Amino acid sequence: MRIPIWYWVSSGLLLLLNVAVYALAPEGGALLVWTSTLLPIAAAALGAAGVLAAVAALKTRDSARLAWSLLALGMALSACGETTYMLLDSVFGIDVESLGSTVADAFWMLAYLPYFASLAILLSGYRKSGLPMGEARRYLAILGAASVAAIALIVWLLVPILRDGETDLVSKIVYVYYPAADLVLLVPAGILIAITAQFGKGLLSVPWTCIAIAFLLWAGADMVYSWLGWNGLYGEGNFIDLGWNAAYLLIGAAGLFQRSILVSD
Amino acid sequence: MEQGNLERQVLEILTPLFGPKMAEGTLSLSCSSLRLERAKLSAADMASLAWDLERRMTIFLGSQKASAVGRQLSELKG
Repeated sequence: MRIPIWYWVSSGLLLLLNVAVYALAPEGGALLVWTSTLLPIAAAALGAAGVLAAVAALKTRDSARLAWSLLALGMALSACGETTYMLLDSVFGIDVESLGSTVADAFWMLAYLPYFASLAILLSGYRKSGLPMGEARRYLAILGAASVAAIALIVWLLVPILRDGETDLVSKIVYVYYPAADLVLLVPAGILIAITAQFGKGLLSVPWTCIAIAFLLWAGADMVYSWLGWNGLYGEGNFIDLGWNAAYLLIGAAGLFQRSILVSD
Repeated sequence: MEQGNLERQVLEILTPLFGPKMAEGTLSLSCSSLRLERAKLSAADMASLAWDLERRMTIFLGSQKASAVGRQLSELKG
């Protein structure tokens, strides 16, 4: 009952290549440009394939299948965003960073809806199962961490961006949308962590743990991106890309692990 | 407390899925909601216990696989 070796090897190679090129390739060179736009597509495609494998193994139309299907839809939209970004940046040679926002953002922003819906269905299904929600102290810790993150985000990022007279309205919306949506997504992801922490080494919870950790990584990368982007510091070869790529791969790993549980005897 | 044979067999199925602590807790929860005495489970109780556990696993496994695990549980003879 394991994730296939090819997935570990592909994911490891992808992340290794990512680190190596970002660390060694000259700034502005073709290698860095193509690597920074193609690797996220590869990571999102691998991740989407992993989630689709889980959907295919869930034969009955029920809430579990719906949740995984929505996760697959989110991954597909994210992959469309990555592909659109690559086309604009690397094929058409548009200076995407200077634009602040592009059509790729529309895909990435839309992807939050199925992601959130998927987590909401999993949590609602878990509540209906009547199984324990976990210890109150874990929720207090999550609430504390979320409150600190929300205050920091509002004070140091969202308010300054909204007050900035030099940033146009669309760019403001984009820079504010990602961290705000991440904050909303962190709530169900945090609850998932509190729930799965009760299961110890139980196999049922492993895919949910992977999904929750992936969204935490994702949120972290998005928040840093918003700050860097708003300050004009984000560019090709920024190491925060690793956060998104690792998150895509982890969601795919969750899907493949889910499949392995489903097809085992 | 010594475990009954059926109780041990149910835990053998649940533990890999739920982890040891949660498997114990889930079995207790199901027995309590069905008003069954956990230490005195009999083959006659297994159909209702399997149904209850299956229902609790559906969000993780989907109906089909949860039902397969439920079937495995209901076939336990002790």
